[in-house]
Amino acid sequence: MLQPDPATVAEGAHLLGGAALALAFALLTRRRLGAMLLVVRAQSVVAAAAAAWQAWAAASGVLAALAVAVLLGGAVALPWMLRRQAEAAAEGPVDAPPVPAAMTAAAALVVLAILAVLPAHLPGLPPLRENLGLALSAVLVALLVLPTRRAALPQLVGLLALANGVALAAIAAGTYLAVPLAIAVVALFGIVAAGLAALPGDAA
Amino acid sequence: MTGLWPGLPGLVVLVPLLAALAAAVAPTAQMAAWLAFGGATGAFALAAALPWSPEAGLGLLADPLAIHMAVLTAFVAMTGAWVFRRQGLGRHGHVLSCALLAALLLALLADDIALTWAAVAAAVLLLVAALRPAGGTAAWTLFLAGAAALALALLGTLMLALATLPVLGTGLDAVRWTQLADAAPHAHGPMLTLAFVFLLLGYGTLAGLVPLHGGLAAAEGQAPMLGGLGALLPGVALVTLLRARSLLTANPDAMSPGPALLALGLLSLLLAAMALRRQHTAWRFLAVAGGEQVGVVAFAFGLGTGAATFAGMLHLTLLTLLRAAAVQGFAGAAQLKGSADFAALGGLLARHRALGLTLAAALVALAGVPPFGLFTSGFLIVMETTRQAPLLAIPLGLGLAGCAWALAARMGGLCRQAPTPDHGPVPPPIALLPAWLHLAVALWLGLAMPQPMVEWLARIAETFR
Repeated sequence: MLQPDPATVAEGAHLLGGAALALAFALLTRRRLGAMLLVVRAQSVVAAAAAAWQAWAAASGVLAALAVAVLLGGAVALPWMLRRQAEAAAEGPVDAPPVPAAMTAAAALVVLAILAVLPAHLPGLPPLRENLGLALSAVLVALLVLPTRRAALPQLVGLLALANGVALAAIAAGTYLAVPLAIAVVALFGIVAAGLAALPGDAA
Repeated sequence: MTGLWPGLPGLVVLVPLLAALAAAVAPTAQMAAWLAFGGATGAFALAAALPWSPEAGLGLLADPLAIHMAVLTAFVAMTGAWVFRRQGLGRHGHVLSCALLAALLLALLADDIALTWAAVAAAVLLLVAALRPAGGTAAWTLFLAGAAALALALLGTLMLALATLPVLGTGLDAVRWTQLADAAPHAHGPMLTLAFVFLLLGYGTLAGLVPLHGGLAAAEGQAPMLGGLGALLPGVALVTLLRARSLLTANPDAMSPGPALLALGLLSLLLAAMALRRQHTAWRFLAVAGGEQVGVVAFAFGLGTGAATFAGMLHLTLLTLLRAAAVQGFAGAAQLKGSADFAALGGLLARHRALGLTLAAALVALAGVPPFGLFTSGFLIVMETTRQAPLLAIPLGLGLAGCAWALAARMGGLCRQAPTPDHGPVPPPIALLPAWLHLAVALWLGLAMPQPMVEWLARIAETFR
C-alpha cells in the first residue's frame, strides 16, 4: 500500500480543517434555511473527508468508521430529515444579526481558539495543535449560530455544525482517538437527530 | 469479582432499568407507579449496601464520592416515586423516571469518562422526552441548552484523553477515571487546562452555572421535570466537575481550577439573588433558588481546601434533599390550588396547616436558616472563605443574604396572604411524609451530624481536595 508522506498528510488535514472552518463562517452569512442546510451538509462532507484522509494515512479502522458515520449522519440523514421538517413548515427568511457583526464576533472567537491551543504541543507525538485549533475554531463559530438564530430549525442546523466541529477535534487526535470517544462522537450526531422530536410548533 | 458479573454497582444501575422495562409493559398506570417505586427503593437499598461491597465490574467504580451521590440520588428518587405515585405522572412518566434514575446512577458510578458523558446525555434526552407532552417550548429550550452543553463536555472529554496520552496511551485505560487520577500528575498541563475549560462550560451548563444557565432554569421553571428528578442532574454534573478539578490540582503545569469555579459560582449566586424576588411561579422560583445553591457548591469546590470540599459536599447533599422536599410540597399545593402561581398559593398555613408548615419549613431550610443543615454548610463555606480569600467573603455573604431574604419573603407571602379557593384534593399526610423525612434529615445534619457521616465526607474531601 502507498505510504503517504507525513508532510502531505499534515497539509491535507490542514486544508480540510480550514475548509470546514470557512464553511462554518459561511453558515453565519446564510439567511435561508435551505442555504444553511446546503452549507452544513458541505461541512459534514469535508469533516468526513478529513476523517477518511487520516484513516488512509494511518490505516485506522476507527477513523474510517468515523468517516462513514459522519458522512451518513451529517451529510445524508440529518440534512434530509431537516429538509423534510422545513418543507412541512412555511419557510421564510431566518432572523439573523447583520453579517459584519457576525463575522467580527466569529473572527474574535477564532483568535481565542488559536490562543487557547498555542501551548497544546504534546512532546514526542505528532503535532495536533494546528488541527485542534481549526476544530476548536469551527466549534466556537458554530456555537455562535445558536444564540443568533431565533427559530428552532436554524438552531438545529447550528447544532449539526457544532457536532461537525467536535468530530473534527476527534479526527485531529488521529490514531490516538480512543474507541469509546469515537462512539461518543457518533452518538452526538444521534443527539442532534433526537432534537427533531423536541421541535416546538413554530420550528422554522 | 471480575468478568461479566457487574458487581453491586452494576446491580444499582440495572434494577431501575429493569423496573423501567417492567413499568412499560405493566397492565395499568397504577402498577407502573408501584414498579417505579419498587425500582427506586431497590436501587436505594443496593446503593446503601455499596460501602460494604464496593467491588465493581463492567467499567463501573464505587469510590466514596460515587457511593455518596448514588445513595443520595436513589433516596430522592425513592421518595419522589412515593409522592408522584398518586399525582398522575402517567405510565410514560413512571417509565421515564425509572430510566432517568438508571442513567443518573450510571453517570455517577461509571469509571469511564465516555460512559459518564453518554449516561448524562441519556439523562438529558429523557428529561426532554418527559417535557415533550407538556407542549410549549420547555422541551426545546432544554434540548438546545443540553445538546450544546453535551457537545462542549465531549470536546473537553476528548482533550482530557489527549492530555493523558503521553502517560496512558490510547487503550481503554485512557478514559478511566481511576487511571486518569493516577496519570494526572504526569499529563500534559496546558492540554489538561484546555480540557477543564470545556468540561466546565459543558457540565457547568448542565449544573445550572452561568454563563449558559438559562436553558436548564427556563425548562425547569415551566414544570417540575419528572417529579423533581430533573433537579438531580446538577448534582451529577457538579460531581463530574469535582473529579476533573482534582485532576488539574494534581498537575503542576495545569492552571489552578479554583479561580474559574469561584468566579462562575459567585456569579451564579449573585444573579440568582437578584432574580429570585422577581419569580412568580413556584417552579421558576425553585429553579432559581437551586441555581443559587449550585453556585455556592461550585464556589466551595473552587476554594479547593479539604474543609471547603467537605462543606461543598455537605451543601450539595442538603440542597438535593431540600430541593426535593420543596418540589414535593409545591406539587401537592399546585394540585390543591390548580396552579403553581404564588398568587394562587397564598394563605396555605391558615387553611391547610400541615401542607403550609411543610412548605414554610422547606423554604426556611433552603434559605440556610438555622437549625437546618444548609446553615451549617453555608457557615463552613463562609468561614473557609474568610480564611482563604477574605475579600470574596463580602460578595458571598451578600449573595447568601439576598437569597435568604427573598426566600423568607416568599414564605411570608405563602403564610400571611388571604386564603385562596381550592380546586383539587388536599394532599393526605402520607403524601407529605417524604418531604418531612427530607426535612428531618436536614435538621439532624444541622443539629448533630453523626460522626460516621463526618468521617465519610472528610474521606471524600481528602481524596478530591
